[in-house]
Amino acid sequence: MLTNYIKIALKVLARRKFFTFISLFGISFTLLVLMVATAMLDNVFAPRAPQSKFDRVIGVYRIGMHGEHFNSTGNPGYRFIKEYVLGLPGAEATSVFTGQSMLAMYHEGRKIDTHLRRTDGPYWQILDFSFLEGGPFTEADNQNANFVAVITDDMRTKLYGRGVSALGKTFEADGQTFRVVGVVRAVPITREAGFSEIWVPIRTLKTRDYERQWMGGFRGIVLARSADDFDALRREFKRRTSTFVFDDPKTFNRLEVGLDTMFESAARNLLGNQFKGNRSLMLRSILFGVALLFMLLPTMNLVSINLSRIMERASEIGVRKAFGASSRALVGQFVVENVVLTVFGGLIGFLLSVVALKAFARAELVPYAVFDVNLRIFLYGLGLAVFFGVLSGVYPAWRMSRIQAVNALRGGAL
Amino acid sequence: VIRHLLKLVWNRKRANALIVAEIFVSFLVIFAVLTGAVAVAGGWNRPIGFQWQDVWDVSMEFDIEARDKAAPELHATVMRMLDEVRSFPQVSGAAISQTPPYAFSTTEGRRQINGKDVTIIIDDVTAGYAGVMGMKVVRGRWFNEEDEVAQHWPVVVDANFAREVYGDADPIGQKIEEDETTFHQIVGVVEPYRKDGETSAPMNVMFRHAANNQKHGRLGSHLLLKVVPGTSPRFEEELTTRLQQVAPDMSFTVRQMERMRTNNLRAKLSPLVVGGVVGLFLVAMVMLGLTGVLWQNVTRRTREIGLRRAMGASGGRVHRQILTEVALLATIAVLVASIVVWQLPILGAFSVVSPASFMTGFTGALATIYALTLLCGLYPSWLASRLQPADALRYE
Repeated sequence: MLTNYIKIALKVLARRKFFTFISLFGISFTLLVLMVATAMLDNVFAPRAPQSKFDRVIGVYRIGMHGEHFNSTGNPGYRFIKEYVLGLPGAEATSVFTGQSMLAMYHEGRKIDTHLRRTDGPYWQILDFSFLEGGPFTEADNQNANFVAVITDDMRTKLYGRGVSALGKTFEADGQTFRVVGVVRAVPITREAGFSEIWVPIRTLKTRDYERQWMGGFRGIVLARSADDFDALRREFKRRTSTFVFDDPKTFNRLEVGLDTMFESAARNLLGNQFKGNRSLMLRSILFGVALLFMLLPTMNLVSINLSRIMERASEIGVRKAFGASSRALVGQFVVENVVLTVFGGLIGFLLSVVALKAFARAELVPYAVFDVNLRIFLYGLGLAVFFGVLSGVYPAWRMSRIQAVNALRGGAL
Repeated sequence: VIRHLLKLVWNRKRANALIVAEIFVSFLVIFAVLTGAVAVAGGWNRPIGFQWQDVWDVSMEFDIEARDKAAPELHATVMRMLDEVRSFPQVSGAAISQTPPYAFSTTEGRRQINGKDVTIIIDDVTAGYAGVMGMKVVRGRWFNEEDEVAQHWPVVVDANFAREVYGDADPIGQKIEEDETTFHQIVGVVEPYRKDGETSAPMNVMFRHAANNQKHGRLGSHLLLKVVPGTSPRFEEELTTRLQQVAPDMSFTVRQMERMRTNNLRAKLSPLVVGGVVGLFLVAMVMLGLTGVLWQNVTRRTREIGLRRAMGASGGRVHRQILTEVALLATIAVLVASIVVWQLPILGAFSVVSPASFMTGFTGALATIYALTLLCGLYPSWLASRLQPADALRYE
């Protein structure tokens, strides 16, 4: 039955090429935009190298301190992470690190614009970088403030030339001299915790001021044994932070902080710390709402084209009705036809989105961004196409099924 | 005739409702894209109130807490750095700022002034700032040594601020309450200053004086330099090394404002470009769809048209009938859309875009919609006008 429907669908598509072109143009463009957006979201939030384990990582990325007259929101400080996140009971590993800061280096008379992140030792266990040379620095390196660094292969080329080993070589950054102990494959900027071009131990920072700050510059992450442990870890974290003592209770007296996944952290960022309830679900709904709104116009367009096409096929429908086809069978047939069309458009859209993402990367709208596609994004796209097909197929199908056989056969008004 | 056509449109209301809805949404899309484009294009050529050429930005990473507690050692170090960089022959001026142009950071505050609620863009700058940024004073004066010992915390505002708050009155000497114990006093007015340059809408700007002696104000974390034209980027390294010697505890990043500007413009404009391209495609898609539907309509109405032709209507009249019908559909959609769009100023849209760009966007969208829908109707109605009465009546 289904094969028959698909055969009919293909025949119909071949019959009126102009209409098919219009439909495919609309569908593939719509799905192109949605797939590009999906690919970007996937590149930011999905657990992908070096954040492959991030499906079981939660962290403190933002913290809010509130008082009667003052509010302060930002990244947590080292002291907060050290006292409340590091060594959280029940965690497999915990780590503290800074954000990536922009850095201008001067190497042999050339300026190199780069990024630098400071981390502890466990960072290298929680994130899985692929090392091309050497290995990570250790927690002992951090404690002893050894001037060692891990760099990317891009950085290696910029510093020492193509294909030259960097191990043991030194470079100067920010007035300090570091020795390279490891080289990793370059990381796209969309990996919030993983991206940088140079990594060095935290304790090589020039002053120890950071050790007494509650706010500013750091992030803390917790690797759980499985995502099921998140609730227990969050409870423990909440218990710990409930006894937080403010330096000056007159300025701040309320702490807004939580262990978030990457997505929850983005939601906390967008919806604000104050937002109660399920932020993650809220953000998902907003994204879905935006996608629906975007699909509104293409859907209307496709519906009106579909309606036109039905009229053209009135006699065929009349014959089928006269021979006893039920309304439901006709609706099913037309929806299947429409889904075949949208999936076809979806495939074109997917190919176009691969091209578009490449073009985005080349235009460097976001420097260092790499947006690639994978099977998961393809499946999302396929899902979107089917959803779109059903959405735009149901109403015309329902109209079609209500056509009176007699009228249809006579070719009169429908 | 219009009334008769309205009846025809009404008779096919279900099919037409969809077309109207599509044109309606298309209108909104075109309106949004055009208004955005007009707002940006309109601001592009107006003066920005400063010069970014040959300005270098050194962002300093220092202990913020020490800064906020007004630690004297930190202050002394930064002052020494200012002197140090001025001693280079390549540097013709230097100043400290907290939120310089194109740096992706803004301080915004709300103040009650003369009973008026004003949103202000604030920057904390040292006396050298106007010289480094090539700003022109239009009233009063820029900061000078007098301000080091001024009773009230001196500020310079831009011409927008002066007009918005004081109208035609003289702003010089006016006091603004900062908190219960502190007052600002305006000492000068500069040309309208648009913080992020070409993409900034006009804003109310206030420069607070950061005194060399810590009497008032606080240090920003950007050291701005005006370099002699043609200074080689290699000077950056020399500069960084010297600063590093003065303040070994700090970290420095040198950037040329020209590059910061490029990055900032790219970040501000690319959403507009992407939005514009997506909008364009959406509209193109709708227009293609509309052509298809109208074509189909003409085929379906062959008998009706044939009858008109047989009764003596000329091809041109049929042509006109179809086009008028399309225009009628567009009009209905545009009317509904206008009602929606005109709610925007009531909701306070004019604080985001100027009334002028709003109007241009609206009339532009109006013209575009009519032009496009008529274009879509052209081919189908031409087909209809060519129908031979005999063929048409025999159809089916």
